Order: sequence, then C-alpha cells, then structure tokens
Amino acid sequence: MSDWGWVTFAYGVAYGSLALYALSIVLRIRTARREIGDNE
Amino acid sequence: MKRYWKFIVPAGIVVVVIAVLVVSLNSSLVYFNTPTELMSQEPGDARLRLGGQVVAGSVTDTTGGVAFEVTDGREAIDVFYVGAPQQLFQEGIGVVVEGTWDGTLFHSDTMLVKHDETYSTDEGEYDPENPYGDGSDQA
Amino acid sequence: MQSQVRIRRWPWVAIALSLAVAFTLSMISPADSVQGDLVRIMYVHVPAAWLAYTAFFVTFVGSVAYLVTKNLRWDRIAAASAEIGVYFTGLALSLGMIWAKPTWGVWWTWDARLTFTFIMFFVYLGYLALRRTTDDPIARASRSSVLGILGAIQIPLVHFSVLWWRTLHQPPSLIRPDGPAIQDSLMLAALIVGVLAFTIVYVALMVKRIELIHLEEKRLAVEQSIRRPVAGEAVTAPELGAS
Repeated sequence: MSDWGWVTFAYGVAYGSLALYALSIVLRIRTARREIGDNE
Repeated sequence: MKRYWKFIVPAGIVVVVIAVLVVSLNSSLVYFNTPTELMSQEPGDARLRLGGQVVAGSVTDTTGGVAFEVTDGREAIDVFYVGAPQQLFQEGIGVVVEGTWDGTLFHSDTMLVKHDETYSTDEGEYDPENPYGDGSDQA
Repeated sequence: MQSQVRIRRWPWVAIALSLAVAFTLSMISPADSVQGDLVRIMYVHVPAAWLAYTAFFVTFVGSVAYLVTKNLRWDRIAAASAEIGVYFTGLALSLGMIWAKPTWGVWWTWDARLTFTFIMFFVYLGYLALRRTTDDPIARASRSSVLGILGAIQIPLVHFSVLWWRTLHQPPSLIRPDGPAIQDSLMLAALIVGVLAFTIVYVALMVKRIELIHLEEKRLAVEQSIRRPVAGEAVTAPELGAS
C-alpha cells in the first residue's frame, strides 16, 4: 500500500469510528426518549 | 470508619499487585539490548533483540539480505539481516533487530525500524549510488 | 422549541467544524523528511491518545468528587467520560497499529508503551462492565468510583513508559524538556490544532453522553413506577391440613 493509502486508511478509521460512536449515542438517546414517552 | 476500609482494602491490593508486576516484569519491559550489553552476553541460540543506530556507510546490500553495523555510540555490532529491509531503513536511523548472537555477528530475520520523535522537512537528495544514505552529505 | 432544538444540535456542529479545520491543516502540512506522508497519521493518533488520558483523568476527578460529596452528578460525569475514554483509547490503539505497520514494519509488538495501553483499555472496559452489574445508583457509584480512582494510576504509567523503560515507541515530541521536536510551524500547528479539535469533540460527546445518562435514569424510574405482575403471583398457596 502507498503512503497515501495508509494515511487514507487511518483517517477513514478515525472519522468512520467517530461517526459510528456518535450515531450510537444518537440512537440510544432516541430509544430512551421513545420509551419514556417523550416525543419531542 | 467502615466506609474508608471499603476503599483502602482494594487500593492496597491493587498497589501491591502493580508493584509486584512492575518489579517482576522490569527486565522484560526492556524491549531490546544495546550493543554494549550484547558484547557482555554469552553467544548462543537464544533469540535476542538488539537496538541502536545504523552506522553511516556500513550498509551493504547482498542477495538475500543486508549487512550493516548497529551502534549505541560506544560499541558497534555487525548485523546480517535476511530479507528486504523496511521502507524507512537508512543510515543513521534507529533499528531493532531480532535474532541470534554468535559472538561476532548478529544473525537477524526480523527488523523493526525505530523512528525517533523529531520531525522536519529537511529533504536530502536521493543518491542512486547510495540508496540507504540519509541525504545529509548532499544537503 | 426552536431554541431547544438548537441547543441539542450544537455539539454535532462543533465536532464537524473543528474536525474540518484540523483535517485541512493535516493535509496541507508538509511531508516529513524520514516518514514522508505517513507523518500525517500522527495528527490523529496523538490527539486520540491525549484525549484518552484526559477522559480517564476526568473519570478520576469525578470519582473523587463523588466519594467526597456523594452527589450523583459527579458519578454521571465519571461514567460518561470513561466510555468516551475507552473509545479514544481504542482509536489511539487502532491508529497506532496503522501507523506502525508501514513505519516500524509490524502491526503490534509488546513493548512497554503498547502493553500498558492495552492493559489500560481493558481495565476501563472492566469499569464499564462493573457499572452494569447493578441498577442501584448509590452502590454503582461507590463501586465504580473506587475503580475510577485506581485506574487513573495507569495514566502516568502509560505516558511515561517510553521514558521509564527502553521501548520501540518513540518518546513524546511535543512536551519535552528541550521544547517541541517539530521545527516546521505547519506540522506543529497540525498537531496542536488536532489536539484542540479532539478536545472539542470530547466536550461535545460528553454533553450528549450525559444527556443520555439523564434519559436512561428517567426511563428506569418510569419502568419501576409501573407495577408489573410478579412471577408466581397467580398461584395460590395450597392450604395444608384442610382435609
């Protein structure tokens, strides 16, 4: 793999994992809101 | 008083465990031997790690491997590494080689490049006559 | 209503903006003379590691403050920060491996820095597991506070391992006795802005994660307020000695 290939891999892992972690928080917040009947 | 014991007992246990771990692991936490340390070791079949700087001008490419010297500034050890060297391998860079020590030559089949903590943009010119040079003689 | 929505959205906007600035700097900064373009991996690896330390330090502060004040507010901060710290530790480990393969030549090796980081990752995973062993907020807070304080011993152990033992991992570039070992101002800027951007990411994630803790506490309270039939309730005990 070229140097830029490794750099792309690293930034993909960094931003991709952050997006997934943020999404997990969003979904957990949404589930909790639904279960307590808070639909705002 | 009782609630303090709830904290002190586990804290004491953890401190003792960490102390035992660090003391007993202290030698294996040292990742490699320096050339000076290797000089005082018995030659043999034991696999060791040797770390230091690649001596400038010591690198010779041969079929099937690279010969070079590794130094810690005091002693230098001849190393023969079987295989293609790492991308960053060059004169003056830090390396850690794994292999056996026969008293005169270190036979290695595993090489790790140990880059240091400095970063700069000083580019040396690439010299086809000296592919492992760090470019400093041209700069 | 409109303003409430805006309050809830700002953390995501802050994350996107700060990462955009950090990313631009990482890409326009020059290549390193030894590592070439691979040096750019440092601008995400080092911030991830620093924020892991920061997050676990906040867990330590929250744990101490909880034990002193017995205010569950501090326990929520400690819990939220530990989860985010585990994320950043995992990220620093992954990015370190991606950086190590093309530079060192291996994905992983058991030198002191890597070994202690590995242990720290699992200790804080243990912290998160410990929090799930009970629903009782007081018991959970006191137990996890003890671990939150003890676990913090690892922060200096991981950070200084590269100075205390002979390792493959290089020592710190930024905070060292002779000043930063990075001469180029754009490279230095990329690293420092990277750390600042990840700090904003951390704060934004904390805000959302604590919001989630409040919602989960509310959900638990709702669940407990609904009286559910207990198993076996419908069975009446046989009357003995009637016949």
